[in-house]
Amino acid sequence: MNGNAVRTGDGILDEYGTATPSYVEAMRLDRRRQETLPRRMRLAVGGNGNVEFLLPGLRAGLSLAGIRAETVATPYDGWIGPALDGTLDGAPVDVDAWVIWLSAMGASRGGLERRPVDVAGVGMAVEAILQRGQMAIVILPEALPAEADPFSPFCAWRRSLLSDLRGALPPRAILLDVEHLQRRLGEERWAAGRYWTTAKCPCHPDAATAIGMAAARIADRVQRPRVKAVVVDLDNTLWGGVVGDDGPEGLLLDPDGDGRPFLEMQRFLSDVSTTGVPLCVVSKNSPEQARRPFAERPEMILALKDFVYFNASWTNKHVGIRSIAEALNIGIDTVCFLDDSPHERDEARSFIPDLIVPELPEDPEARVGALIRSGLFLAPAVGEDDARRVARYKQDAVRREAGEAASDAGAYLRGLGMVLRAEPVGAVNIARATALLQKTNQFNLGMRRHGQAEIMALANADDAYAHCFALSDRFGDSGIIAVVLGGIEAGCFRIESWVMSCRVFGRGVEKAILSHILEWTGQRRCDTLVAGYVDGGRNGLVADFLRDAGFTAGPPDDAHGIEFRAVGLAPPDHALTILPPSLLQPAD
Amino acid sequence: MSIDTLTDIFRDVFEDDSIALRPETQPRDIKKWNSLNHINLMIAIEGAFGVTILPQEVERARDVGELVRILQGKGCDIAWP
Repeated sequence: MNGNAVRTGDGILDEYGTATPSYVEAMRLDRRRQETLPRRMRLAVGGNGNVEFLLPGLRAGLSLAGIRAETVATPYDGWIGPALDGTLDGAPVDVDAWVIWLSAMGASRGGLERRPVDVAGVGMAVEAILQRGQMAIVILPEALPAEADPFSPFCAWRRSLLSDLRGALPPRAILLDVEHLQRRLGEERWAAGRYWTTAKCPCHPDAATAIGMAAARIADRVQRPRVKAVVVDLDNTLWGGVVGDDGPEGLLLDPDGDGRPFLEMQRFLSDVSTTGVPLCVVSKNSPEQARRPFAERPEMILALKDFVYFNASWTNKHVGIRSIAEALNIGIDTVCFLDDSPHERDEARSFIPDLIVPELPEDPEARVGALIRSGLFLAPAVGEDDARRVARYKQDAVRREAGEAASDAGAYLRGLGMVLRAEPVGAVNIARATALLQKTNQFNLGMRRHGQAEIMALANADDAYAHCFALSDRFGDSGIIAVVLGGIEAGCFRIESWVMSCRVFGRGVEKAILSHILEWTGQRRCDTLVAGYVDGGRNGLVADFLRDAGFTAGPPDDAHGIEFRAVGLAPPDHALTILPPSLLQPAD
Repeated sequence: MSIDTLTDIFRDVFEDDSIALRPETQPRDIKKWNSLNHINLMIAIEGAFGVTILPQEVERARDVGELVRILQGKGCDIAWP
């Protein structure tokens, strides 16, 4: 998946669809590549124009990303009802995502009127979509042909419409601005009023294809594991020159001269870091030399404190990259390695085939643009939790150092002063609980991807156990790091879902959670625990934990499921203090 | 250019390799010739011949003989055998 080119009959598109096919080419692409695709996504498409013209680009874009798309189009200007009540023609709209095309052509009745738009209704409909746990991608109104005149009243009309929409749409909606596509295609290839006249298509169908491809790219990036860490080289990547040869003073870092592209890379990475992606360094340098430019060159945008791990040594880079992934406790296939040297990139790829290694153009000026177009760093909806994640990784790094210093692991864990807060699942934590259940791949018992509504239904059932667990220690607050859903059924306590963030592995948190469950079941005189494990490929550690804790595995079924069972389990030892809900501190 | 280019476009858009065009061919003769696919046909023809088909022509073009006359009128080198 490392930027491999996908060869189509009509040209070469890279994995992320940087080049845009025409509408007719997209229709052919969509027909050709179907059943063999590994992933599936169901989408509802609606808007204030004829959304049929969006479908070929959307579907072709998804198929290029390896996703078989099943699409359902709502009638012209008739998406709000189905979005609000979740049904279309009496049947439930059972989809993963909605794509809503709010064209300026549609809102202005083909460029004729500057009517107010019911943005409150749009906001409510999108909120209803999100409430059902579906993704919402909203395509924002495009610039109209009339706006070629910068003083046209249509400019002011659309500006105010955009600002009203941004105010009315919930923050978790993904807003897709299409003006960058309009710039890329140019007015000639974009505007085509005759398609509005004949078919209520708000732009040239080739432009609709470009929009569909862009929406596909976002849907793909939201669904698949995103880049979770960036490991970056220093010499000729973050600055021009080699610090060991040129000395800190000889490096190209002049913002008004040939240092600009390197500083542009620093600015880009600094912005990536604010979306919750930790930055790390792996550089072939002496540790002292590698740090000197950070201290001695005031032009630097990135500071040493912006990096979670800083690995400067003379060992091969793949060794450093692996140890960083282990320290961060993330899969190597979510780590992105940036290096200007084709040799280093090749070596890293050959030692770590799953590593994400985008090509960096030789010309420093072209690099940030290439990274943006790769789509690897798209972060459509950055939540509060994302913003705090990098700080937490830094706390983890400090803990790790403290842990390496402590000789006795048990004493170290006790010294952390860990406190686990058990919070019943409810309105305050449902968003985070849903995100954890959707995203966790390693410590995940059943790989069940519950939506928000389903979680609330489970939580509100009789004899239900539905808790979020928040962890803090003397280094800081990790926030909610685990969710357990279960309940008593015919005298047995069945664990329906159990997910835990990989960041807190190795601290006995899972044992503390099991103790909490045992205390709860004990109070209800239930001594049998059943856990429905499903092998998802990467969650073997859950099965190991259950065995260690005293569960017995039943025979596997056809769907890779194994029922683990335990009777009369004793609470395991752990080093955490569990706060009951009555002593619940407000989270942050 | 013969009628073959146009036939290829019809076969591609309507996903039917058995289509053979005659001047009297109409939507009822081709299974998938619905209103959306008619627009798709126009888009494909515009791209292949490098012409613009105007809204009033789009309606008239629901008849292959008329469609060919429209394209000939735009200077397309297209003729019945």
